[in-house]
Amino acid sequence: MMPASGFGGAGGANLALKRSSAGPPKKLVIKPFKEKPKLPADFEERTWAKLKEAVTAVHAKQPVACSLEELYRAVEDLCVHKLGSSLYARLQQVCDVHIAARLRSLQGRAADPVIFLSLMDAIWQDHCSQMLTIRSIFLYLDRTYVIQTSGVRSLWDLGLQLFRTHLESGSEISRKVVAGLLSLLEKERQGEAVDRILMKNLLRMFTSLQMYTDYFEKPFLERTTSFYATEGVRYMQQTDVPEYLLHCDTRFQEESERCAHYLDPATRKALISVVERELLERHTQAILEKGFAALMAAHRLPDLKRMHTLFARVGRLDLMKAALSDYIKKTGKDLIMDEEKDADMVNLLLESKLKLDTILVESFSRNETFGNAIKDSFEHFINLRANRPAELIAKFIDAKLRTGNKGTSEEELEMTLDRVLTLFRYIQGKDVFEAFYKKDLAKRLLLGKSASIDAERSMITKLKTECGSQFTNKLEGMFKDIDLSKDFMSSFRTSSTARTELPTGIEMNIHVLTQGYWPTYAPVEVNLPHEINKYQDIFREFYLSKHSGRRLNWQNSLAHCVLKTHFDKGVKELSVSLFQTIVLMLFNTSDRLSFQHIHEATGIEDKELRRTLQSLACGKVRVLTKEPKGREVADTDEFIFHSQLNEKLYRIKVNSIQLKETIEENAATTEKVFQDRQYQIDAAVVRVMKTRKTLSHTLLISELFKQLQFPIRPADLKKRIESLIDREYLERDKANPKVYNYLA
Amino acid sequence: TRAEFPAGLETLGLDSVDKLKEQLPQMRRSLQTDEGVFSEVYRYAFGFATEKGQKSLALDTAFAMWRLLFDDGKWPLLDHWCDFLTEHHNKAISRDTWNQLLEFSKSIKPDLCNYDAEGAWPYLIDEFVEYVQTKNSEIST
Repeated sequence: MMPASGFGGAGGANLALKRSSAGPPKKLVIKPFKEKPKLPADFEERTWAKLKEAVTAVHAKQPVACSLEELYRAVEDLCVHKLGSSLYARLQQVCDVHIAARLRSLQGRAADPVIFLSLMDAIWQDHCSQMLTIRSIFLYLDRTYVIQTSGVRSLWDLGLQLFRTHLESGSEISRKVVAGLLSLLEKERQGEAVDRILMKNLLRMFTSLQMYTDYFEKPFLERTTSFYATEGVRYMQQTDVPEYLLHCDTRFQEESERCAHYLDPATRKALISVVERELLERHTQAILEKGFAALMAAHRLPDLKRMHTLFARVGRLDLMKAALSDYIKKTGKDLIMDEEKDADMVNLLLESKLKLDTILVESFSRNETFGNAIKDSFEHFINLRANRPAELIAKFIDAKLRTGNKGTSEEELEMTLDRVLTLFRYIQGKDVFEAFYKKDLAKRLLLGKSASIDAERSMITKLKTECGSQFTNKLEGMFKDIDLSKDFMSSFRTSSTARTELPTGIEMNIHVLTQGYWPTYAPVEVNLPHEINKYQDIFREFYLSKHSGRRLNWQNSLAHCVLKTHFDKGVKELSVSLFQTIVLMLFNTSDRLSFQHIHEATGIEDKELRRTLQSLACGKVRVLTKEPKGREVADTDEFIFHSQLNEKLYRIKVNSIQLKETIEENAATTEKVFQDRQYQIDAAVVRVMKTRKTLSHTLLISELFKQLQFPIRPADLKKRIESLIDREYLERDKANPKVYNYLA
Repeated sequence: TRAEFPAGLETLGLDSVDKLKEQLPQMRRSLQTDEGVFSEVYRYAFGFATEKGQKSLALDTAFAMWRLLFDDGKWPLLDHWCDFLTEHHNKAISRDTWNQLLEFSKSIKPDLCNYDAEGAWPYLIDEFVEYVQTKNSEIST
């Protein structure tokens, strides 16, 4: 009303004055129409014609005549006037016709799959973009009529539905599309490069049309199955196992990638399981049979690891575990049973165990069941050969603990002993080991051959942890005896008796052994030199004065001496056994002696004497010479003191025989173990029967198996039971001969 | 023993030689027919046949006793048993083996099909069974 000018107050006022003279504000009245305005009769037709023209243009990829806004308005108009449903129907019809025509155009076209697919793709892309445009035009319809009316699809969905209907009905087309896709897939699997984008588009098309699962996925999986089925068989024949496994890995990766790039993610699971089944699961047994042993033997860690991972995928680790067990049992058995390898057996076993442990960690990811399989298999084969492995392990440890073991650091030794102990754990007849270990330990202690007392004690501790204190009781007793003897000897030497009565010119160190702890030694009677006798008697008196009620037996076979010997070239100290000493001391009185004379004078048993003489006269260091020459000692031989002996060292060792183990010793030890076992069986039977009073045969046998720590056969048990029946410890029940009664 | 003989006759109610003669065939028959009697006699035979102070029975004597007790095909495997012992055992027989043999002859069939090696049979009898089975397979091959 009033111009808001800024001219000067006067000017504004003038204008204002002018206007205000117009009078009171005019009232503007808007009257409704007298008649409701009617749509023109052909409104719908004309509007539709406009729209139809537009749609057709879109379909024909021609520019649209009217502006999009005008078209939009036209739709809005129709909808507002409740002409939405007929509009929808007309639109549907136009689209229907168009889509049908387009798809039909594909029929009989292009034999080449790629071209065909490209055409299909083009049609689809067109459809999508065209529907989008149409939808924008008809947006109002979509937002109002469609939403308000139930059962009516949105325009986009309508388009999809029409497309699908026509695609399905022209079954040849959809089949051709699928076939084309599958053939491209196969090409890609064979290694050719294909148009992934094309494939992706078409597959997305199928997904949008909800035809993916039925039309594509099913034949896809079938084709994949047969592809990999044949490939699996072919590759198994042509390649070796590591290559095959690598190929499997590659394929898995490829197919995963394929899913990521163009296949529908939903297919992934089914696809992978098909590949797993065809390439792997079918061939697991064959793979194991063909190549597992070779991989193990060649220590192929990465290949084994791959195998483990792949087999885990198809859940067939149980087969692999079985193959592992068989492999270990077989190779182990060969190792154990090969008698010629005895000398090396422990080393080979340690090596083999180490290799397996490495494989377990590196390739099998410390899988617990596999670890157990290794353990069980080891236990199985190591016990196939009774006694010998136990003996060899004891000998191995002996060699490690003896002096002369240069070059092994303390840690290395500890580690080796630990590993040997693991082997020991698997052995069932541990009493055999104990017997040999004890024997060797005794020798080491008495002859001063232990490399390190710490190492010895550490070994005992390990055994104690392993088998309990009962096992190591006696062994510890042996150590105690040595220590006690040392203390006793020092008190003996400082005692007045020693200082006054002992013969001069001789020094002795005496170990007092408690009989129960040490291996049993058969006492050997010999004629000892006078000085030694005297010394022994004085010692005995002294000892018995301190410990009354005990009995001392001299073990001559275990003693060793250092003899100061005068040769032409000078004085030497000879480190010799007692027997050797006795023989040599005879030569104090005469330079030349016959075998018979020596035999009589020393009182040494025949076989032992021959051995002793051999060691003095026929070995590396010849303190005596034998006439006639030769290795064997005959009754008529004569021995001469070899005064011209020429050796560089001051102290010479001629005492190798005591340390070496004779075959008889060996057999004796084993025999003793068996005897001991018999006593143990007898004791166990009596013990069980005493508690139970009456027991059936089968129950008795099972009870004995539980109690006895070493491997036994039922036949052996039977024999002991019969012996006990004979000795009237038990009887058979009069009513039922299968039952035994305890006889008090 | 001498003392036991008249005492035994008294228990049987025989006080004259004629009565004894009468009883004898019956007694012999009872040996064949009555299991209990046979068992008793068999077991007794061991003590009877062993020398004084001996715990086991010499093999030859054992053979003779068995031939006597198992006469007339009472136990078809007898010959095999004696062969086996001569070949493989060659030592005296313990009382337990003697007694168990009776059980064996009674319960185990001649073809040894119902023999249980895991059972409580003495080891010697186990070996015997093995012996017979090996022999049989040798014959059949």
